[in-house]
Amino acid sequence: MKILRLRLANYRGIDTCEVHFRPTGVTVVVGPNEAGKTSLAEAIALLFDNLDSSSRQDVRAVKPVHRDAGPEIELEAESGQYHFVYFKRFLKRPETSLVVTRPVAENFTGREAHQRAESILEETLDTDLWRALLVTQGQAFTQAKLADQAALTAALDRASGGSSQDPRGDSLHAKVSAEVARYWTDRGGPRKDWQDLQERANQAAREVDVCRQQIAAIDQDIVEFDRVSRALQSLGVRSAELRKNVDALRKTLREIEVLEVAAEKSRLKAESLGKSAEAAAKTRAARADLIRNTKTARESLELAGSNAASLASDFQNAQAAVDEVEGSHLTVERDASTIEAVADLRRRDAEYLQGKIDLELLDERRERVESARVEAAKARETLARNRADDKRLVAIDEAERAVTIAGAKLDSASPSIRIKVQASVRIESDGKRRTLREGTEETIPVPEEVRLIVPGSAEITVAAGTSTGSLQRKLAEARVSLASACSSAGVDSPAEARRRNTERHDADAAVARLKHVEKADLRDLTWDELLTRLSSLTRLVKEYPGARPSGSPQLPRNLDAAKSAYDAAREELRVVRSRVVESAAECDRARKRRDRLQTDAGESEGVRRASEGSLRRLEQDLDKARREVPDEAIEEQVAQAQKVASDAAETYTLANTACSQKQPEKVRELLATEEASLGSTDRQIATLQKTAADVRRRLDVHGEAGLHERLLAAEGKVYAAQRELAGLERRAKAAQLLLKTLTTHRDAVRKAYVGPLQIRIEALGRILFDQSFAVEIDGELRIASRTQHSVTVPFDSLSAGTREQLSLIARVACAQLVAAEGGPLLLDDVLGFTDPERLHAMGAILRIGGQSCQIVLLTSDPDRYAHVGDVEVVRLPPLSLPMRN
Amino acid sequence: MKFLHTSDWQLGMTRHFLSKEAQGRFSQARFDSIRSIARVAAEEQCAFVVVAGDIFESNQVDRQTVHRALEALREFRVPVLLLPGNHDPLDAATVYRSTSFLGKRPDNVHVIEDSQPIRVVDGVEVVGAPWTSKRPLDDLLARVLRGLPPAGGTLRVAVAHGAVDTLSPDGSSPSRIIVAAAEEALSQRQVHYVALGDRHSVTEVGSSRRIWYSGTPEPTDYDEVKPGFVLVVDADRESCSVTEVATGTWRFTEWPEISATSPEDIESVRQRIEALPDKERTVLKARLKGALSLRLDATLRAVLDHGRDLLAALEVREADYVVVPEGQDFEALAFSGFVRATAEELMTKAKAEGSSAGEARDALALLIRLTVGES
Repeated sequence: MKILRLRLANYRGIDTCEVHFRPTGVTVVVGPNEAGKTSLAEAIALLFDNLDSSSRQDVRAVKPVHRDAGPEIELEAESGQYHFVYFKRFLKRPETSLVVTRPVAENFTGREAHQRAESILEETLDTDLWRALLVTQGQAFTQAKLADQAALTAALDRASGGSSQDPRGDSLHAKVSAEVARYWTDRGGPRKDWQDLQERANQAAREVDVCRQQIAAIDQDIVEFDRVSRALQSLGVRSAELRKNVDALRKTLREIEVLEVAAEKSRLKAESLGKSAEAAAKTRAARADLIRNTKTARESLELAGSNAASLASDFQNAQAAVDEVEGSHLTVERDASTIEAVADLRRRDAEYLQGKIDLELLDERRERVESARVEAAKARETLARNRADDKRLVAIDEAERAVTIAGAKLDSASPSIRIKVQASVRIESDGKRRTLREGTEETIPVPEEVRLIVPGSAEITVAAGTSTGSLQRKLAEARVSLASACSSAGVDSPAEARRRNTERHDADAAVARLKHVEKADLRDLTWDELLTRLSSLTRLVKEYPGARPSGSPQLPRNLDAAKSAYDAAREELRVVRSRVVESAAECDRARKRRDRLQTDAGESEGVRRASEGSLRRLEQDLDKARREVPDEAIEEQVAQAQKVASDAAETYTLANTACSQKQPEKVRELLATEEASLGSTDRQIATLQKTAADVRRRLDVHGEAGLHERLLAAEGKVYAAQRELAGLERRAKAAQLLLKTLTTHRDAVRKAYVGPLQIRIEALGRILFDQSFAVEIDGELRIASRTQHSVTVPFDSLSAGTREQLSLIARVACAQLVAAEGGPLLLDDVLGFTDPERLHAMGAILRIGGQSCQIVLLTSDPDRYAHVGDVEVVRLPPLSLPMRN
Repeated sequence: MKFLHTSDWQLGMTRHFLSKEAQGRFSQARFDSIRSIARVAAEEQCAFVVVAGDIFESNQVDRQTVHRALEALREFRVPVLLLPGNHDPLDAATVYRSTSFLGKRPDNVHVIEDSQPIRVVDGVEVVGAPWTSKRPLDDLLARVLRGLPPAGGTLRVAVAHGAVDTLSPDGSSPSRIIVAAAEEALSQRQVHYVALGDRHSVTEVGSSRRIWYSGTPEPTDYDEVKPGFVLVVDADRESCSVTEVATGTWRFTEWPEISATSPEDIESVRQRIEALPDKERTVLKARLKGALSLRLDATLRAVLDHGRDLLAALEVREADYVVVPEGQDFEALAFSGFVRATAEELMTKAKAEGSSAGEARDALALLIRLTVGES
């Protein structure tokens, strides 16, 4: 079909608009916005798809908002041999008209017009393929669904040189698929209906089994009941026989029992007499025993007497041996105590001598400590009394020096008396008398006033006057200070102070020495311990010589001698002590032997006395017994009793034989056996009767359950279900086989006609890409992958732009193939993803397409198609109002 | 003295090839035939009725079956003697001692439980040989006849069930009825008529004219030669005449060889089915022989389907019949392209031997059906 002209009125936002298209080649429709031009493609579909009376949503959607007017669509087109103008108005004053001008003029209105338009379209156009090739907005890079498009298939068949495809092929394939789907699931399993049928068959088969089993059980019960009935009959006969036997045997047994009582009586008599004979024999044996025992006792007594005598003598000897070893043991013990005393003396001698030495040493130590203590005590006294310590001494020294200085100052300032002695003269100054030697000079200072007396001659007083007053005062003050310092130290003069200070130092030393002496001489002892020790040593040394036993050996001359004497004594003591131990052991042995013999002798004597006693008793018993019954009388009684017993035994034997002949054991055993058999038989009868009752009950219950009909009904169900199943399976398999065969052949054909499409796509594609461009087309006639420079990329992995270009190329290629029976290739806003360089090449491709097909490009951007060559550009008028959606 | 001899009612029998609805009618027909027999007995003024075994199809029949049978038996105005047969033996599970049976048994109905002569009406004794197990070990009738005193002035009718040695191919069965022994008893005047059951076709046995199988009063299977009758026996010590009275309403028809090779054959089948009387009570088994194209097969099947709708049952055996797809099956359809290739491949397979050929034929038939449905 080729669209020649399209007129829209009252259509969405469009008041009125008419567009003319090139029948062959490219028409570019430029719309002010997307919706206006999109309306063109939409309008063509609406026109063909809807009756003018339709009020479907897509029809109502195109009604203008602002006016109450019906949308109008008028299409002038050529399709196949037809040329026609097709008009519809929807919703308001609906109207349809179809004016066909070629090949024959026809005129239709209303539904007739719609139907005629449909039939023309159907006759001349593969509408499905046309729709598939349409690109509406936003679908630019999805591929057209080309498989199952009859026109394309036919075109491809022609192109591939094959026979023309059956136009029913694809729909037939779909029907066969649907038929297969009736039986099989997608996974190839049977569908639920089939499974249900199978389950019904199984269920019925199970029911058949159940019925058969129950019927078999009934049959078994019938057999069982028969068996039990027969068994009961034969057991009844046996029971009667047994009962008869039992009665006969019981009668025989009663006869036997009478005989048995008689035999038992004679047996008891024989037994009693036998016992009497035995008693007599026992009496005789007892007498013989008594005589024999008396004899034996006598022999025993003799033997015991000789044993006792021998043991008594052994005991005497042993006692003597004990006395002897005890004597020698005493001697050894005495020796030992003597030597022990000596050793003790020697030890004490050594201790005494050691004590003496220790006493001297300790006493020296005591003396040293004591004298140090006395000195220290004195020193402490001195220290307490003497206050001239170092500090005070320094004060005194300083005060003295001040007096000397003050004195010297006064001296140098005060007048002095210089005396040149011409002849020795005695003088007295300051209360002191002295002699001034001839030829000497002396100066006597006059601090204040000096009175110089020459005894007997003159008393001269020299006064210093007032000029030395202050110096004199200072001197006086210094002297007072000195006197005060001295008094503080408890001395009269500095010289004394110095002496007393030295004394103090000595006392300190004495105190210090005491500590030293105590450490050296007390050592580990305290003073009191030392004294105690000393006193004990003193007592030892003083008392020991006197205390030594008289007559003892002389005290050794020194400690060493004493020690060696002690060692010798100890060795002697050790030897004698071991001898004491030995002899004690010997005593012990002798005593034990004696004690044992004593016991043995005692026992032996006991035995002898006992033997004596028993013999005496036996002799008495024997005498007594013989007095009562003499030995000869006993013999007579025995003979008599044995005779009587033997007669009674014979009587019993006769009675017993009579009884045995009746075979009582056999009769009893037989009776017991028959009774047991009877019991067993009766029990079996009872058991079988119970079984019979059980079987009877089961048969009553199951026999009337209608099992026969149930079984036949179930068998009928199995038969029906299996027939149905067989039919279903047959149909299912046929459908499966048909689909498989159809698919195999269809795919083979598809593979064959993929070729021409591929050649066209590649020819167009090489304009865009290069000579290495190739595509792979799948069974659904879609581009599966692109290969360029030996690199193959799946379609879905290509860029959006490339996918868009390839999809468009594929559409153009298809349009070329079906040019004669195809519709216009309406492309809405394609190549939006294509970069400017490729727009050139795509323009060329569209132009080539346009040489054989009608191509309508809808766009808002006409520059995009500047390279399509000679094109018809149609501009849509602006919209009267904004679009509703 | 007239009496009625029948047997093999087989009450409770079902046939798997019958639809549920047809089975219902079939079962009802068997109860109805009891009433028909009662009418015959009344019309023919029979003094009593003997039923020679297999009254019930099994001892384990449903209570409903027993009750319906007893209800129908009420129609009789004369004594009816029932002999347990091989299907309903007098064993421990016998239907005749079930509470269903005992509770509803009409007074005129008697079960022959042993071989003691039963005085049915004055001057007439019936002596029966009931089956007491499914596998008796000797000729039950002979055993009864051996111990039987001479009949004297009484008319005596023996009733037995089982195959007779002269007709039974199974020579090893110990329970076969020895015809010679029966004839000997007849000649000795121990009995005057032997009423037999087991064989479903009415049959005279031996040469005495007094030994008969009555056959089943209502057919049960295809192999029955002459079913659907009861016998009215008019006998005395000197003479015996037997009249066959038709009671059957159903038919089992078998067409052992139906040629199916041409459109004419199909038409013939159609006409033959058309001609069958009482179709709703007719069970037909047809064995197809020959070969037809897919299209003719479809026609034949339409004819058979129509027959199936009318008949009580139509069983078709196709062991000797094949559908052979032929070029002309497809010519009218004018397949091309891969559809044609598909059809050709399936044709090749369909003409080959083996089980896959059948599958291929079915696939071709489906292809035609879907294509025709499309166009």
